Amino acid sequence: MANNLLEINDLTVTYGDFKIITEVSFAMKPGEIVCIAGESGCGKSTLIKAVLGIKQLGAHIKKGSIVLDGRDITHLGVEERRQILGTQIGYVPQNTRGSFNNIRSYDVQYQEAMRSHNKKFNRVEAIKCFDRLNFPDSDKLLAYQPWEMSGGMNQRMAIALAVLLGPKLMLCDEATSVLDVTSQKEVIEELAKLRNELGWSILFITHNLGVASHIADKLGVMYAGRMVEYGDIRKVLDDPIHPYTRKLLAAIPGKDRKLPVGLEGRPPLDGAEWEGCNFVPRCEYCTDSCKTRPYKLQEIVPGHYASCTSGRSV
Amino acid sequence: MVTCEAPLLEVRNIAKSYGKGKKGKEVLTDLNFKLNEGEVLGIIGESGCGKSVLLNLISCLEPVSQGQMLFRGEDYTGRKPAYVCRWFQVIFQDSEAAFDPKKTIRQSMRENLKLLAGDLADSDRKIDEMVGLMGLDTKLADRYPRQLSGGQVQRMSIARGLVTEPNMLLCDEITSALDVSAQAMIMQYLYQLRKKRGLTMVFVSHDLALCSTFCDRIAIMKEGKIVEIGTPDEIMDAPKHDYTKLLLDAVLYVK
Amino acid sequence: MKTEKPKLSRSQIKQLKLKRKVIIWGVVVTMILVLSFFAPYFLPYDPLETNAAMMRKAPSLQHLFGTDNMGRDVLSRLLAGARTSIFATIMLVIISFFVGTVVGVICGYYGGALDDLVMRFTDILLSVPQLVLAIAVAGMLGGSLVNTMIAIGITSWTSYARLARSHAMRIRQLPFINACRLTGCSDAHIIITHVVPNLIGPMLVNATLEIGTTMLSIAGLSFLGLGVAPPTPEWGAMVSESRNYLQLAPWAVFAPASAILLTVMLFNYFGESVCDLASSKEA
Repeated sequence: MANNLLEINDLTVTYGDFKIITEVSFAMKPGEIVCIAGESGCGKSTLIKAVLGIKQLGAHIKKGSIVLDGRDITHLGVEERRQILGTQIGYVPQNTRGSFNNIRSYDVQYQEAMRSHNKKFNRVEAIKCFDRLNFPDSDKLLAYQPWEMSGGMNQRMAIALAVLLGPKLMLCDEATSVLDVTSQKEVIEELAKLRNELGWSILFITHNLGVASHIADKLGVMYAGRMVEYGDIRKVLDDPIHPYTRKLLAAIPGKDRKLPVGLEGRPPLDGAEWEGCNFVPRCEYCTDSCKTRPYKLQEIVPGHYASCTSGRSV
Repeated sequence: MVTCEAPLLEVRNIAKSYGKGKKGKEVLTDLNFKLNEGEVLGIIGESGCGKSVLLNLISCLEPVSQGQMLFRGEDYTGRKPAYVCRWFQVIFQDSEAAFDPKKTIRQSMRENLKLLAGDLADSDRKIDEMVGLMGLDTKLADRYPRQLSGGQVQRMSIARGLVTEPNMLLCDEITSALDVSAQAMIMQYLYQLRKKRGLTMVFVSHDLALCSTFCDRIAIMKEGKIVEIGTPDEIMDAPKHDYTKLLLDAVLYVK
Repeated sequence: MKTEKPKLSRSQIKQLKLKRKVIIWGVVVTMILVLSFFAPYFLPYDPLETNAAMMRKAPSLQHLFGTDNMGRDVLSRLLAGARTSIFATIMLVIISFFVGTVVGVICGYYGGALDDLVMRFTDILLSVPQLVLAIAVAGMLGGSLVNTMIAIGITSWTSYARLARSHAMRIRQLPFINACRLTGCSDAHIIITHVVPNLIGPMLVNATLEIGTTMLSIAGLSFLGLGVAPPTPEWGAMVSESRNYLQLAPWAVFAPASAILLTVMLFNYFGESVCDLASSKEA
């Protein structure tokens, strides 16, 4: 498939000597929203760090490759990397309070960001962009300083900045998880709108499957450093194959107002280092062979991959 | 279950403001509700609506500015936390920080028993029983809080709240820092506690979907006021207040 | 998969290295303490005995570090002075540590008017340069070891108090203190069993770092003639007495000066190694 925007092949990422992600592969087409979901410590944020590739973040790519629009960006130099960040890869972090300087106006900070990417800052264009995103008081927004804004508005300003820079690929790392539910919904709707109008591609990392189900086209479920299931969102949610995905879905409070069902224990910290399946200690279907059978993501149904099919109801 | 004439907890017109005069900021205004024995009241609101302050007021950790609070008809407004701790125990969101990092979980629990129940003879058996009731290995109680996972510590802190057999638990966002699987585990154990012991609870949360699975009544708070209160069915199926509708609309269920 | 021998992670190895450092410096410091305590019993000569025949003799086998202006053996005086200098320092650090921690914890935990009052008082003390204040106090009280300690102690407790206060204020706001209040704990009980154990670590680190500075202050006051009364041997006073004939008998200055330098350095190394270990554990 030549027309993939982002291809991640067999990616293994380490922090120091410690493996965080093993053998993750997936591909994204232009205009797609891909969600990677999983619980804390599953390596989903590390995945974003690997794509951003900033050395200071500590993530080190040991094996595999990351291909953006046909170009291998796995081992780019600092200067080349700087050129693609922002203009080709945009990034919305979890905590935008920390990524804007709290006591300088958005105006100054927008200018700075644009200038560092050799782009001209045009106030009229910025305000047009705010209008398109339905921001209230769009003509006054630039004069504000981040501390005067709510967390949700701040997050939306970060998205607007990313829009102005016009990247091909947006990376969102838990971009809505610190927000209140009402602002979360606004941000989600904005992102979906941007995809529809501008043909954005978004890689969205979240622990909230509810959020994923509202915007994603494809869904990947990660567990202890491995991708255990990947496929079209409807296929994964309607017919979850991996035992972990089913457990995860059962743990979410649903519309039926029935008490959610939990999952005892926690993921193994060194799960990415294991040879066999690392869900074994918490799995009700596991057999002895699971402990030794090497991890492999298989295409079970066309467009729907999983590393295990135990206990699947057909 | 004992049924009393007076409700277990009654809150009458309480208000709380910080600062004085013009600079003063009112965070809670004129709150009223009653809670019967064995009932679970969910309190839903977005950040800054004053829901955590409300728990601090009920448990006397902070003084009220105005109004009355009654426990089984007895006015306890203005008392010290030491007075009400026999009735209420608070479970905090950040459960690891709710344990003294320099003490094992068992030591912290023993302290509760010693101060509240006064006898230590039976303490280890009681602690083991509660830890078991929360579905945890009793050996885990001899560890330090940072050696347990978030979900485990939170279950330990519920166990600690229960060792002294209070009438009521006040839960402050107890699952919001946890993963969904750990959250669901906690909800299950809390549900069993309700069935076995008829525990009364105030369950503060921002998650309407979660509350609707568990609470008998839900109060919606906005800017220091309760805008709507009703059973989950009333709130979820026929919301009256605009804000409730807004919140309900923002709940992202898995489709 | 788990192997038989647990592999240590990098941070663990780093911690073991830091721990080893603390132990090494700890042993060195303990040796100095023991040496200075028992030294007066093994003196080659009487440190106070003057000898007109042996004035300003260069180091030799009889007098390893030479003799001073009055023919007193420099080595003997050095060893006798070690006890005065080091033990005065340790005592002073312990006392100001204790006073500062108690005051700081109480202020930090309760806050309010008491806290304001005490902290403004420390502000006043700190607004005058420490050494100038100490000189003034020592000048008023007159020269003696105890008076020197009082003069320095008047300001030195404030740094402990400030540190303890800031830690107590932080700990006071943690949920577990609220949890304790809800078990009916008294404030005294909370302070003793919950607040103090949680701040004693950084306080001890600070104390070990302060040993060197305190020793210098004592030596400095003695050098200015405000410390121990002559002829009692004390390192700072020894430097002061001998500097008049520096060209004639440099050893009489260099010996106590290097002793001060070496001891302060060793205590600082010890303090820093403890500090490094503590911060690596926190991370």
